[in-house]
Amino acid sequence: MLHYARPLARLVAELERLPGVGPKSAQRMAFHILRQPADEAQQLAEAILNVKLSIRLCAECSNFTDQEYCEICRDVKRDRTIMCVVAETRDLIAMEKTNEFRGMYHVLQGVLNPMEDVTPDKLKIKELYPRIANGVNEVILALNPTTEGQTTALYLARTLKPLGVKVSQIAHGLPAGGDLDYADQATLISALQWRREI
Amino acid sequence: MNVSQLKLSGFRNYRELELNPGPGINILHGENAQGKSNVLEAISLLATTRSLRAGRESELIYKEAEMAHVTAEIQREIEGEVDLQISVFQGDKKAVKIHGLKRTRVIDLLGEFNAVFFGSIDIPIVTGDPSERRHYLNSEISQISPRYVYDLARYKRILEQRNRLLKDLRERPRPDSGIEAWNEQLVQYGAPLIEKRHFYIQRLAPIACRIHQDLTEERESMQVRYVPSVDFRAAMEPGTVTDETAEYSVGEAAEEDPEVNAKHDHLGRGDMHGKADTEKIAECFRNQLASICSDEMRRGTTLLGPQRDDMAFLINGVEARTYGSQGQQRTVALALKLAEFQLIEEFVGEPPVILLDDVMSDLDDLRRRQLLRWLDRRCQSFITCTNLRSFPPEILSGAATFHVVAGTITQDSYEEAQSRISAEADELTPTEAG
Repeated sequence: MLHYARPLARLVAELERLPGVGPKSAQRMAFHILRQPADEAQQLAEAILNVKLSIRLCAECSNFTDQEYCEICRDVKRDRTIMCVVAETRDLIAMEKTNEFRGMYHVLQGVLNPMEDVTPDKLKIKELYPRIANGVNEVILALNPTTEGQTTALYLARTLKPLGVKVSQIAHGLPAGGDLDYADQATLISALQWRREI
Repeated sequence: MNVSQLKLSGFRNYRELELNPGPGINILHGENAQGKSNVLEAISLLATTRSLRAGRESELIYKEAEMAHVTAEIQREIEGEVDLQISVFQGDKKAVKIHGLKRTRVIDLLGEFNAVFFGSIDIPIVTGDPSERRHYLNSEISQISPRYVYDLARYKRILEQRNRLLKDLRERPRPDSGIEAWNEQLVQYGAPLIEKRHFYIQRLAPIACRIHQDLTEERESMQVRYVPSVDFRAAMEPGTVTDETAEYSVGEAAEEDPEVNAKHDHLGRGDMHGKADTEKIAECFRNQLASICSDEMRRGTTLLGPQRDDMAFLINGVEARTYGSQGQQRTVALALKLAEFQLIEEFVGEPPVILLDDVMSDLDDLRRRQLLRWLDRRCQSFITCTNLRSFPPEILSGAATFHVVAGTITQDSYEEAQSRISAEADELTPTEAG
């Protein structure tokens, strides 16, 4: 069997550990890097190191930031009485792109998942309480409609409601502009379950 | 509905086969391992898209072939003729065609054709572990309720997560584990499963019991009972009967045998008739879950819920699984399958095709005669057997018989069938032959 030279094998092995990267892709990326000019490879390596050194969690909402508070928490024009709870920063970005929500966010950095050893103490939940006590009227739970996402929503609803704050959850069901007859059964069942009076 | 033509190509031990079955009883007879059951399997594949026995579906392919095709002309009461084809390729891939047009999804075939299969693989529903009966319930209810499939998948995932959490908590107890949220999820997705199982068994039971009576000429009486893990008697709608002193607990055998009594305590929910409200079932589930919380923490696993449900079949008041004879157990399983047939008939609006794999030899004369009487003129049926002796002349005269030898099938003419029977009879009583 033919083996890579040791440094190349190491790069392939490291790339393979990335999500969504299989052996073939890892190999292709490694050879691409190998053919790149040295300064481009340098830039990539620096970018990777830099992200680890400079990015931390926002002291307020646990979003990723390179300062003490993230851009949203620093923005004085945002509505501090309403808060949207999301699992990951990428969910926050998706919500932000709509330009519809002008309140604050809170990033849990995951969802409850005992099989991955994630219990409430592993999530940014206790950081929520002082923020809510600080003038928040409504909490919107924007979590995925998966088993784990919904269990997390249920957990938060139960712990937040006694604090006297309004807790709501985003709707789950048909995509906007979607056709009924194209929707899969699980989606329709969920849409039926989450129906509302008009 | 019925199969008016069946073509197999590269399927199991059939290189090529064309069969033109009759609209009533079709008998496939021949020695063991000639390919009788394979014909039933092919018909069943058209109805369910799944193989009855092969773990890997490429095992359905003839040993020298690249792929297997099952093609059939189905006659339906309203739609008329429907042409169906299912193909199996190496690597367990499948494809379907309806009226010669390729469909993108294999499940598009479902609903085009219905068949009910009964064979020795169904006996564990009566004789096997509770998991066999849960599996049976799940597959039956899934056919009529997509919502059930969805809830069941969710429930399994929740259960897996909750069990893991309980196991961790046993080793490292923590005050804020999130267990309450998992409890609520378990209840939310578990209660509809319980409600659907209750509803299904309530519909199935009277039909199965009546068929069972017919099969045994009223010599035996069967009861079918849901034995739920969650006691939801409190969820029954007011005015509906909750019969806790069901017949079986006063049966003679039960009084004499302490072991039977012990068994009855375990079953002791009695007959439950009427509607149960899902929300109220959820409430029962929630309360009972709360009361066994400390047990669950100690054992490190979930002790309550549909994953621990069972069904009980009683013959003359005694549990068939433990105390029934083999023949009685088979009759119970058969009655369940024929009841399923009737539920499908009700649901679809016309009778499905019935497939009986090697069941005649296991039934006594009475049951066999009653079964054939039940089948006759009711629907199209396919019956496999090793000889024709099991069939009374009045049935044979109206049936189509096929002789199966090593992957070839020839239809007997009426005279051939007659002479075959008398030849078989001769073997038994040579003196009468002269």
